[in-house]
Amino acid sequence: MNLNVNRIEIEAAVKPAGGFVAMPHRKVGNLAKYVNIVRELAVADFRLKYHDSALGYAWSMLNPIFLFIVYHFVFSYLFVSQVPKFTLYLLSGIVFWNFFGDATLSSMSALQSKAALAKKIYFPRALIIFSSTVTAMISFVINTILVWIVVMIFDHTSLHQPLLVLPFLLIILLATGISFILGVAYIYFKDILQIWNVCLNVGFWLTPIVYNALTAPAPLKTAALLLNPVGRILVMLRAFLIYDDFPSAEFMITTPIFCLVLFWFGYWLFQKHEHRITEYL
Amino acid sequence: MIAVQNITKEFAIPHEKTKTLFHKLTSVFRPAYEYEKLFALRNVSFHVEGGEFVGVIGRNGSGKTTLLRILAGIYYPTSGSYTINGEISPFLDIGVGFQGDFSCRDNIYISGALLGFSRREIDSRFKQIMEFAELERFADAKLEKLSTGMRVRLAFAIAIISDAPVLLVDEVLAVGDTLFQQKCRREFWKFKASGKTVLFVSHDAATINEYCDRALVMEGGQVVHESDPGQAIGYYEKTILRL
Repeated sequence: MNLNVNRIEIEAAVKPAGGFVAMPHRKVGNLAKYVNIVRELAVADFRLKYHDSALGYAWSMLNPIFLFIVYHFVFSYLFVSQVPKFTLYLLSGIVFWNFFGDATLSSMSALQSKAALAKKIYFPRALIIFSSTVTAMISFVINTILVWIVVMIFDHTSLHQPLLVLPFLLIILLATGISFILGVAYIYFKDILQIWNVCLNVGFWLTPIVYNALTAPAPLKTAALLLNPVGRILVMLRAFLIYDDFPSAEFMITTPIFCLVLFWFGYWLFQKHEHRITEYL
Repeated sequence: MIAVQNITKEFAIPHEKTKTLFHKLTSVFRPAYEYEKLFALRNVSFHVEGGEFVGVIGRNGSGKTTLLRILAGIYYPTSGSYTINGEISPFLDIGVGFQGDFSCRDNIYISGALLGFSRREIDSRFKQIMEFAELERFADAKLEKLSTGMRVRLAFAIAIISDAPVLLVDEVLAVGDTLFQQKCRREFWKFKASGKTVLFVSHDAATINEYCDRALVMEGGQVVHESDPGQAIGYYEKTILRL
C-alpha cells in the first residue's frame, strides 16, 4: 500500500536517532510483568465492551449466531448449498471468521485508546496489540468450545477433533500478526480502519465460509486457498472437526509457515515503529 | 544515578496535516509535507547523583516534560544518550494517565501492573491506595465521573506504592486541595529520607526550594543555569521571567 511512501516522508520529518541510544532501564526478561499487564488490559477491555449493555456478554455470541441464521437460511433455501454437512461447515467458519475480524479491527481502536496510557509510562507497546487479541480471544475460546459441543451432540465424535487446537492456535497467531501490521499503518494514516472494514467484507467472500473452496471456480479457488491464510486454516479446521479427514502433508506444513511468517513480519514491523505511537497518536 | 549526555529532541510541527490516505494521495499534486523543526531539547547534559533531589524549573514549553518523557523511555531522543541506574517510577502529568471509561478499581490494577506489581500485590495494597486517595466509596465508579481533584488523588496514591529508587516527578503538587497537598508533602519527605533519587519538574519556586538539593533552569530546550535552588530560582525570576 502507500505505507512505504509515508514512512520515508515521516522519517525525513523527524530524523531518527543518529546512533545507538542507551535504554538501560528497559529489562528484557520481565515476562511475568508483561503477562500481568496484558491480562489486566484485556480483562478490563472485555468488561468495558459489554458493561453497559443489557445482554452483556451474550452479545459476543449473539452476533455470530444471527449471522449464522441469516446465511443458513440463504444457503439452505435460496441458493441451496452442495457442501456436505453445510450447517456445521457454516457455523465453524463463521466463528473463526468472526474472531479474525474482531481481533484485527479492535487492535486499531486499542492503539488509539491506549495512546494516553502510553504517554505516561513505558511498557512494550506490542502489549497493547497482544491484549486486544486476548480480549477477542475470550469469546472465541467459548464459541469454539460451543461449536465443538454442537458437533459432538448432533453429528459425531472422533479422535480427530482435538486436533482443532492447531487451526485454533494458527488463527490467533495470524490475527495477531495482521494486527501488528494494521497497527503500524494506523499510526500513520487513520483511514486504514475504514479500509480494513471494506477488506473484511470482501475477505468474507474470498474465504470459504459459505462455499466449498475445492469446488469453486479456479480464480476463486486460488484466492481462497492459496493466498488466503484464513481459508487454509478453515479447510484444516473442517477436516479435523467435521469430516474426520486429514489435509495433505504439504498443506499441513505450508499453512503454519504462512502464519508464522506473517506474525514474525508484523511483529518486526511493529517493533521498528513502536516509538512513533506516542508521537503520532 | 541519572546521567544525561547531549540529548537533543527534534519534533516536526506540520503546517498541513496529512493524516488520511486521501490526503496523502492528493498531496502528490501539492507541495510535499511541509513542516517546521522544533528543538524541544538542544544538547542537554546533566548529572544527578544517587539519593539526590534535583529540581528542574522553567517556563511552559521550555522542554521540561519532554526531558522527563525521554528519561521515562516514552520518547526517543533524536541524538544523545542517557543512563539511569535502577528501576524508575514516572509520575508524569498526574491525573490524566488513566483510562476514563474504566472504573477506579480497573485503573488501579492496570496502573499497578504497569508499575510491575502482580495482582496479589495490588490486592494487598488496594485498601491503602483507596484510603490515601480518600475514595473508598468510589471504587467501582467510572474514572471520568470523578472530579479532577479526585483523579489526581488516586493517581498520586497509586504512584507512591512503587518502590523504585528513581522517581521522575512532573508538577504533582500543583494540584489537589491544601489538605491533600500536605499529605503529598509528607510522602515527598519520606522519599527524601529513604534516599531515593528524584528529578522533580515544577514551575513553582516554593516547592523547588523546599525539597531540592540542586536545581536546573531550562529555557528554549537548554539547561541555562545549574546551582543550589535559592540561586537557581533567583536566576529564573530575574533573567527569564524578568520580574
